[in-house]
Amino acid sequence: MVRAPVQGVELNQRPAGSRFASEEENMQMMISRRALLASAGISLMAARLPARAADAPIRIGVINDLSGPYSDIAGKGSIEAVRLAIEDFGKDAPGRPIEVLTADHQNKTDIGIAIAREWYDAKGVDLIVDVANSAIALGIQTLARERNKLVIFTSAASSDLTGKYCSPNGLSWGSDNWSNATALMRLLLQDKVDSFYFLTSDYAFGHSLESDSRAAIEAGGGKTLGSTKVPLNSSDFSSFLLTAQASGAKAVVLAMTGNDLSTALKQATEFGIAPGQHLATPNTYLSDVHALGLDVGKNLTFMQSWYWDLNDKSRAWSKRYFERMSRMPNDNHAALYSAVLHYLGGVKTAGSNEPAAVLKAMRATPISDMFAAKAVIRDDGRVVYDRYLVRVKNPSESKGPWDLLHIVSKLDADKAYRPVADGGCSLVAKK
Amino acid sequence: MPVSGLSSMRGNPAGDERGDAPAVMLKATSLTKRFGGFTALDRFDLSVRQGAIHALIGPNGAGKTTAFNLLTKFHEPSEGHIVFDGEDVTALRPAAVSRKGLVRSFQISATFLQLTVLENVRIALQRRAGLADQFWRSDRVLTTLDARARALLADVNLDGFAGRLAVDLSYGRRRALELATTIALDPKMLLLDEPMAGLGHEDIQAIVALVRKVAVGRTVLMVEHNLSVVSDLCDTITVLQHGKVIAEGGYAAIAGDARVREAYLGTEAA
Amino acid sequence: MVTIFGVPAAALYGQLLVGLINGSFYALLSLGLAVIFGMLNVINVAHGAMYMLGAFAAWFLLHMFGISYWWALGLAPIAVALVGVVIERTTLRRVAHLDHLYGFLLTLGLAMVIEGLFRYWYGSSGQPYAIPSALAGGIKLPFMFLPIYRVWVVVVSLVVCLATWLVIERTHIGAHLRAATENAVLSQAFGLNVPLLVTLTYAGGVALAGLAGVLAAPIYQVSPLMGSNLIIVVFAVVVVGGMGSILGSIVTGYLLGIVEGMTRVYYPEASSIVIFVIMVVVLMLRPAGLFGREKDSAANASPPIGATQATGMDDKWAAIGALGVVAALIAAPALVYPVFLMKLMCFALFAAAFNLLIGFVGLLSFGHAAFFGSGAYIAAYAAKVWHLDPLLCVLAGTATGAVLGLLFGALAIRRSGIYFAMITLALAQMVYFIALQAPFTGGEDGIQDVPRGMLFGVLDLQHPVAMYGFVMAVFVVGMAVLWRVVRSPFGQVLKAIRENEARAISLGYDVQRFKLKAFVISAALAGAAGGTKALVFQLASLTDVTWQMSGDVVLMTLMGGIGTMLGPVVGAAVVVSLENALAGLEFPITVLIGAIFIACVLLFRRGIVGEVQQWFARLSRVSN
Repeated sequence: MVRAPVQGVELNQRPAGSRFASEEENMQMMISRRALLASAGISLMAARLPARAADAPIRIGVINDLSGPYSDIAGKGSIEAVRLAIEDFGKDAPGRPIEVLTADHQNKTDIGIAIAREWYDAKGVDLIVDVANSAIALGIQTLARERNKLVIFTSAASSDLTGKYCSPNGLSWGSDNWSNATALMRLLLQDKVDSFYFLTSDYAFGHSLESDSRAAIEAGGGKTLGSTKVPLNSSDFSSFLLTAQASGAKAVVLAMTGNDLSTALKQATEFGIAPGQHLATPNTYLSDVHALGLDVGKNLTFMQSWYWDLNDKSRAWSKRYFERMSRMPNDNHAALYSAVLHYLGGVKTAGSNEPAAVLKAMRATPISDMFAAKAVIRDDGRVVYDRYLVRVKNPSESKGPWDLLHIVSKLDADKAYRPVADGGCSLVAKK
Repeated sequence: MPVSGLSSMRGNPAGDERGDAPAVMLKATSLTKRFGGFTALDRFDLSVRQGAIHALIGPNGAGKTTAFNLLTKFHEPSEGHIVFDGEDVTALRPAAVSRKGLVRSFQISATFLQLTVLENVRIALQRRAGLADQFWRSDRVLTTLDARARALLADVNLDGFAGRLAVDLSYGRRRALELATTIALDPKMLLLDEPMAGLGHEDIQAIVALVRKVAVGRTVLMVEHNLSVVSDLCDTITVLQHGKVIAEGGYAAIAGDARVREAYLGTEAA
Repeated sequence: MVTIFGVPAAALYGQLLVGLINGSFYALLSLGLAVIFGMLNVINVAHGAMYMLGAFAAWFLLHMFGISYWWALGLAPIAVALVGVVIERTTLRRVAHLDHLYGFLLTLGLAMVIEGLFRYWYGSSGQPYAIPSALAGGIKLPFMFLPIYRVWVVVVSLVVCLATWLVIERTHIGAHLRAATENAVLSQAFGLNVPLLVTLTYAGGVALAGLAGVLAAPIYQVSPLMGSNLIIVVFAVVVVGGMGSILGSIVTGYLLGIVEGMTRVYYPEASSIVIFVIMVVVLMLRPAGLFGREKDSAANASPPIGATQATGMDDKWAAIGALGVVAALIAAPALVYPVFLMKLMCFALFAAAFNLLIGFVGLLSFGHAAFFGSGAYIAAYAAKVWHLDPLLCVLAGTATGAVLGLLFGALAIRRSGIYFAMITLALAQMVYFIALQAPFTGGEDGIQDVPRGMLFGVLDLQHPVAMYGFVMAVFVVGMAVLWRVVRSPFGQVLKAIRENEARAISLGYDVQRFKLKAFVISAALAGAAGGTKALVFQLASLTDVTWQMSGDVVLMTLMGGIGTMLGPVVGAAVVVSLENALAGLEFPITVLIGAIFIACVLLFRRGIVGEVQQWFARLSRVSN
């Protein structure tokens, strides 16, 4: 029922004396831009905007689910991660003012896309980040390309974003379904778990996760016995779980995330699904594990890009995050920090906001920070780095409320993500 | 069932000209209505002669309103038949019955309160003028009905009130308005449900005069409690009690009937 | 392996058992609703919120005070009952004498406020609540592992349902209650404290919902949204069972749970729709529901909704108003984000179309989003896949609305009042679930990247000025059509029907036919609004067909002024602008909008434009 709630948080990075974009200048910029668009006329796709003055503010828009089932995965934590990046970026030298806009798309496609459109068209936003909903992500991917702006996904998991829907204006910095699913399926197949039943969140993310998983299962010689589509935000999975149980599959794959995942797992425990069947949860976040509790979540295995307790750098950063959020960060929060930091560096190097120039600078600069020792931006927009297979600890193994994961093994970047030629992305030069 | 020949006293043209027994306008046969276990009307037979002013009376709870609702098809009969002007209308919906020329009024005066007096009458005229269905034409086209509407209002002495909202009229005038809208349809037969209900003495006189006027060339059946009005206006009276007809005839015959007196024992007879 | 119609028996039994468990919740919740409707004639839309409050109360008690589940079973319903007392005393009492639809709208506003507040305080993510240890674990049956707690739920609900039925039908207190609600005046003459009984009944009804909430807490999410997910289904149960019938809602609740379970086995995609299909069928064949007795609707003394307006403004003022709006629309893009204005126009047209039905025919349709959303989907599809001219796309949307309107209308028109609203709601829910499943609608993703196209092959609507002009043209034409319909011979008859339907029938009018025609016109224009919106945002999505969207348009019309021409436009402008302006605040918009809804129902039933008209009328009377 609620329409677009847009929260305008002005975070100005400005030491004394720098120019501050006032309301009037904002308005003037809006009006003149509109007039420009109007006179350009034919297609917004082709509208080339003049480069702005070098000290005009950079605007970053953080859009995600702030109040719904995914609010703990990205949510307010993403906003903090972005703020941390901005602070760290400006620490050494003063630069252009940087403004952050935030909004809650409530997992509604029309709200999310309307906000993104308004941000790009009327609010002068250069970069949209996070997103936390694959359907909305696909829409923003198109918008960014049409309006020649940038978008960086850290919590939208559809691997189509760097596959058939890839774009020169969009990067995937967080994990994606292919990566989460394939490694896990391969692992299960190794353990002779070779029949699967899917409970799938019924929208872009779920469908994509299921299809990536199925591909890996087939490639590994396993079989998918069936699948049930589950509406987003369901409260009762009992009948779906029963169907999965009755199928006789050796593994039940929960192709869902956030609250749906926590609820399904709790009810799976209630109905005694495990240990008769293996519960596979490809897309799991630290926040999900925390919500579940170790009694229910113990021994679940899945992929992660990063963990707060990985090394000293991660611990230090996480401590700063914890001070603001009273929670430990998910891997996507760290990815977001890394992405924004690197983007700001790219803007500085390129000396402009213009997407192609910024991306060129970003690709030219090596990525090495607390998130990833080494990360590379591929042609299809996929950012690749080493990933980790983790297992949820038993209650007896855990020494603190956030001591939840045990790192099992590391997967090299070239194996962790789908090979660049396999995605069907048109930007990848055919060799 | 005794029938008194009062029609000639009132000068019923149809009966006189034909010279034989006047036609039956409305005939109900074995009309029955059951609500769950309770029988409100039990094998009710009624014959209303063309041109008559026929009354249906009886103590409270006798089934008069039920009979009325059945005859106009506002309720479905459990059993029985209704023949109007030679045609079996038992299966018709109430609007269709009305279109056949059998039009009713209501116990609580039914006018369109938030419309003006003139608009009230025009509504009644619209359908037959073919001006009801067009949603693409301006309502200004309805002014073609104004002359006829005003004439009807003049007939009921409401021509000075054409522009007033119906809700602003006194109850007596609203009754008159209802009568005007009923006449606007040029019905063959009127069913008047307690036309004097709620009226003061002067208004009653006015309405009685109006009913007499509009009854010319038409048939009237009315449900009425006010027995002096009934004796004044009506030539035939049917008496109901507990859902059954217990007597029928002219006023004198009815008043003298022992069963009728018994039925009304304890009730204040007018 | 034994199979029944191709499905393993084990699977079937398991789903039936799960269905029975779900049925327990349906029964308990619909029992409370039926009690309240049967006794008070109030459709308590806030019932879902009460259920949620019960669950949260249990959670509070455990997490703040360490009070266990067992105590919560008693304390939480009492807490919810107290809330019910406050609600009844302060708000419901004031609309008891009005058309029942106002009660419906009032409780809708209350639901929005309560759920919005909790959403604000707790997010939608849900709080954990453990199954009490005494009830943990399960029984290993041959066909499934049956959790003990779920058995407990079935037992408790059966006991409570039976006990409630016994109290109401077989005891003195129950007799008093029934007397008080059948004839308040008489009962009061006999010494019954009717107002107290009414309050207790409402409190009791919502306490049942609170109890269901406590039962739900350990197994479902304790989340602010838990009620709104269930409430529509519960309505359907109550309507099918018979709106005043206690026994009917209990039996239907369990039956429905089982039917849903069976549907999940054989045809899972239909499991969400099955109750609505049943509801429509039952309402066609047995209008009062399976066990219901029809309340005497003929002698409804309260003025019908929409009849509160005076005859409406005369042509001079109408022309001035129209010119004013057009002038404002031409000037506004210089100051306001044009896409916002276009959105506003689409919703204004939508609300105006809805207003035709409620303001001029007196029918509250609670499923108008079905026309709006279907219009959007078809227009989007026409533009994206068939590459039709944008005008043709909008016309396709209009036609879709009209056809759906004819279908809905044929089924719903025979009923009126709250039954009509419920049928339209059920039919709209079916459209929602079809939209969710149908391949061409894109499900949760919607139809994206809808091209705006080239109008008449020459005017590129990507150009913002061109698009704005197009939308304005659609809006103006749509409003003109509505104006004409209202001020036509047909419109006059509609007014008469609204004023006194029985009289209109006795004058020979086939009122059903007139209502149906108005319904189709209203639905067609709603479809036009939806189709235009799809082109503006280049997107058609599920939001357009939700019942919340239907509620949105009711609010806009109520706030602006039911039965006035300008009202829906003003109402849409206010609501859309409020939602936009308040979006910057942390505070949830639903709460504010819900509060405004309540205020409108309690205090400003005429709406903004209605109040203004009243004020002018009073002025002119004074000066005369």
